[in-house]
Amino acid sequence: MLNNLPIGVYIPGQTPIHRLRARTKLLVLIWLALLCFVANHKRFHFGAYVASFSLLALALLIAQVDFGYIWRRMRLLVILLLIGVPFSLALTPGPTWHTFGPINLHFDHLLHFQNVTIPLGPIVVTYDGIWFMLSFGAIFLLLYLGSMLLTLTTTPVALAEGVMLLLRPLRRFGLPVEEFGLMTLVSLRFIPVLIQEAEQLMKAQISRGADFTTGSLTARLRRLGSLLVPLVQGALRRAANLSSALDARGYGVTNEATLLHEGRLGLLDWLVLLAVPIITALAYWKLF
Amino acid sequence: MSVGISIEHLTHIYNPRTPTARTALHDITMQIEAASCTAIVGVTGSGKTTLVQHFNGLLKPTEGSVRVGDIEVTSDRTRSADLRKLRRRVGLLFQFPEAQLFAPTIYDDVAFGPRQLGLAEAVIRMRVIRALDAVALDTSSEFLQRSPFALSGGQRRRVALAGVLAMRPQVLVLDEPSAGLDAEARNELYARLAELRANDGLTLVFISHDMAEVAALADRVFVMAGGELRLSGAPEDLFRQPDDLIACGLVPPPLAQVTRLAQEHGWPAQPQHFTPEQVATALAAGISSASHSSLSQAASGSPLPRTGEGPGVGASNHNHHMQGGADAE
Ligand SMILES: Nc1ncnc2c1ncn2[C@@H]1O[C@H](COP(=O)(O)OP(=O)(O)OP(=O)(O)O)[C@@H](O)[C@H]1O
Ligand SMILES: [Mg+2]
Repeated sequence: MLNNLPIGVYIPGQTPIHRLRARTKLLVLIWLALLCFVANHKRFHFGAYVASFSLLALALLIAQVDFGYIWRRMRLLVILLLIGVPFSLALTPGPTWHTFGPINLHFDHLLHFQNVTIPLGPIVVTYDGIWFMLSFGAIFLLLYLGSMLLTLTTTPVALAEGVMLLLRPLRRFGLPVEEFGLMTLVSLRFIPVLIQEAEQLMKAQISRGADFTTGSLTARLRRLGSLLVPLVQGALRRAANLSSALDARGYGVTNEATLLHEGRLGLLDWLVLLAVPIITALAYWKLF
Repeated sequence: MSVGISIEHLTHIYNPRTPTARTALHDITMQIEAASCTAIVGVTGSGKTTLVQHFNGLLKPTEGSVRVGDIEVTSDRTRSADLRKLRRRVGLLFQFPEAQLFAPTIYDDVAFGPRQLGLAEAVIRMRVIRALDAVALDTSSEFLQRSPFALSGGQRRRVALAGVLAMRPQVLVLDEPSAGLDAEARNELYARLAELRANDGLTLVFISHDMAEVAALADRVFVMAGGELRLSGAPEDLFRQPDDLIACGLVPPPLAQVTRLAQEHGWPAQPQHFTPEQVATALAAGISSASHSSLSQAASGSPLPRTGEGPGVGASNHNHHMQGGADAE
């Protein structure tokens, strides 16, 4: 029932991609997205895109992800992108590549008594339109596939720790990075528990004749209420336990906390952090 | 009036077609007789909960079918009217149900099910009171208006059971009903279940980790291991051959082990004696028939007579007698 949520999709594994630190993967993804965005200004230069996608494909292969699974999850995005194609093609001004139409659409016997002709077009496809569609489609796809690979191969906790480490310099400007990090980590830790609990509660109530899928809006809201009461109650109880447990261990956010998953960068991390920018930057400036 | 459950080649896969897919049940075929009391046992994670959640259509088979009376659930689309009927017919008490109470008062919580059936308030009230009565809880209007969260854990579990009973199911499925209860609360629960069975002809199915409990209550046991059905049979047959049970990660009830070990030493008790009453009567019979020949031996330091036909005959006679008694219950 609740397992269609996009969170918690981490799939345990031992591949080199799994073993990379979360912040390495985050930095690489940010770098690739930025580079592709910058490369957008050089019209019809594919170097950065080809390099980025080759690296991404390589990473997907190394991580041994199930391509069928990835395809099922990105079907919707692809459909959305395809819907956007005619608009981006037709609505970008600039030098013309080709003009389509105008096409006259005939509807015979529309409304049973009239023949109607609707003129469509002319559609002017510009070079800029084509490039815009290709480059932004590529950036979207890159971000989507990249973040999917990231969440598939990184535990949510490691991810939160990675983000926290990357944001640590902001502490100098008085931002409560550590506190936020702890909050995120704790929430992430309990999201699966809460989902599981909600599922159990729903099952228990369905067993007693509740129906969560039909009925009027008010009826459904009322049923949701009967779900929330024990859920919130459980969460509060757990929060109270957790805070006593943290207190009992003398936990405070006054010192720099050591992190469980995000250790020092390894050799592999440094290699990736060096190789990826060099390869893609070379491809950007030298190729095509 | 009683209905049974018949399961054919049931396979269940969680999160099918994703990388986290997990086969929790594999090709299970079993029959649960109408008006019987069936125990499902197995180590943690062997798929017991997954199995019983098929009994009322909460989970749908990935392959195979589950039939309860005239309603059949398969992997195809089952009509939601059928599912509603099935859930009314099969009541399911969840693992640790006390955490699932939610209504502001005990009355509202127990009345939740009947209200979903759209009954009149007077009828609902009657059902609530009968259900609370069946689990030996107070039915005074003062108690009914109390918050379920002010009760003890054991009392809350009884409220939850009353909530299931108020649906008037024909089959009652209990997922580890006695886990975490003290001895008295357990005995209380067993007595209630026996009463329900005798009065309403309920078909009972329960999951348990306590073999002594299984021995005392069930007339048929199914042993799960690794998502498969490994063994099934009457408890006395299963406990007589403990090796198969041990291979599934389980141990026979302590008294069955005692009688088996004692028998190896020639003591008159049989391995199928595993309730305190059975063992006590067997021992008493053995002692009385053996007293003339072996009491002197016992006094001289050999408490376990290795020879003598007498005790064996006495015990097996007694065994017949005991089984007759159990049937009559
Ligand atoms: N909602 C779920 N999603 C995915 N896997 C699940 C889910 N529920 C159970 N499983 C898996 O299915 C297997 C069987 O679980 P199940 O809860 O049926 O075991 P059980 O025999 O009831 O154990 P226990 O004695 O601990 O209650 C386990 O390996 C478990 O990890
Ligand atoms: Mg279970």
